Amino acid sequence: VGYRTIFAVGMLLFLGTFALNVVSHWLRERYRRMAG
Amino acid sequence: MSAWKASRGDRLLQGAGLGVLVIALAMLTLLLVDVVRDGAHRLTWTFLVSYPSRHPALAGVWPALTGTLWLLVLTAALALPLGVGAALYLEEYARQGRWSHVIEVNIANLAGVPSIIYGLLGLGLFVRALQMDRSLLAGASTLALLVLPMIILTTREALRAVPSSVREASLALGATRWQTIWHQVLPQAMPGILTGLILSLSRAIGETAPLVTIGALTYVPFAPDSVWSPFTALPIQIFNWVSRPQQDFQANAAAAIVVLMVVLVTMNGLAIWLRDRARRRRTT
Repeated sequence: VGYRTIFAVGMLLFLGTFALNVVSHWLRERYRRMAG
Repeated sequence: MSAWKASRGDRLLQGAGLGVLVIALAMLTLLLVDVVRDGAHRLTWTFLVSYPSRHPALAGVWPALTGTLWLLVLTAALALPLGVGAALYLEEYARQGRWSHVIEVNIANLAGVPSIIYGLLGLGLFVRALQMDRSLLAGASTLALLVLPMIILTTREALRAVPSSVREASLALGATRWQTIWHQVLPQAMPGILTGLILSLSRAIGETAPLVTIGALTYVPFAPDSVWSPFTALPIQIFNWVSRPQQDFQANAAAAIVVLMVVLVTMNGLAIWLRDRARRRRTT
């Protein structure tokens, strides 16, 4: 269980950064559309 | 707004920018001076060619230095063809659509993922599933995965910067798509690709977390002699020495930081020279 736990924590960290990246991508696209 | 106000705004912005630059450079200089002052007395040839020891005065960085150099070469050898190939496909061959957009977003996301995640991936895939154990190849493969998104992104930017007229002229003269890419597009994009590689490898050389995660050793009394050898690297050695309470090991860590920076600057200098040479060849 201990060995697999690190992968669970890693996945949580990955999902967190993924969510932030998706938000930043969405914001960038939105501002680009507004500027265009 | 009057001209006087506009020029005052310009001067203010210029002054603020200069101030920020001076603060950043001063902090960097302070850090460098502090490290060099702490470690200068340990920087000898014996320190470079000695193996780690329990006695700080006898300890050296030879296994870590050779491990770092091995890692650099292997990482570049694995990541460069894969990264440039993927970027070439995405930029020159793939159709622009929903899937290519999804792939683009994912590559941008992977470039920002914390390095320890790559360490976990390396542990699960290379060390366990592919049974590479704690070898140099497993470490270099993990670091190659880490820098791959950065190389893809910078290579794509370099390919985009090549004017489309170059491609059109080449195709109009009867060259095939591959001939156009190999003889026209890639040479023109090479300076940009090399810049991306320099930045990516500079990141890889300083990474500790993924190597610690895959189980790189902290005490290695031998230099690696093949890609299957267990290894350590300079950041791990520095981390090891810094975490010890004795003052002499702290000095060793400072000296190892200077060695790491010299390796980094030398490597960057070499890559910049190669890049400039490629640029000069294109213009003459």
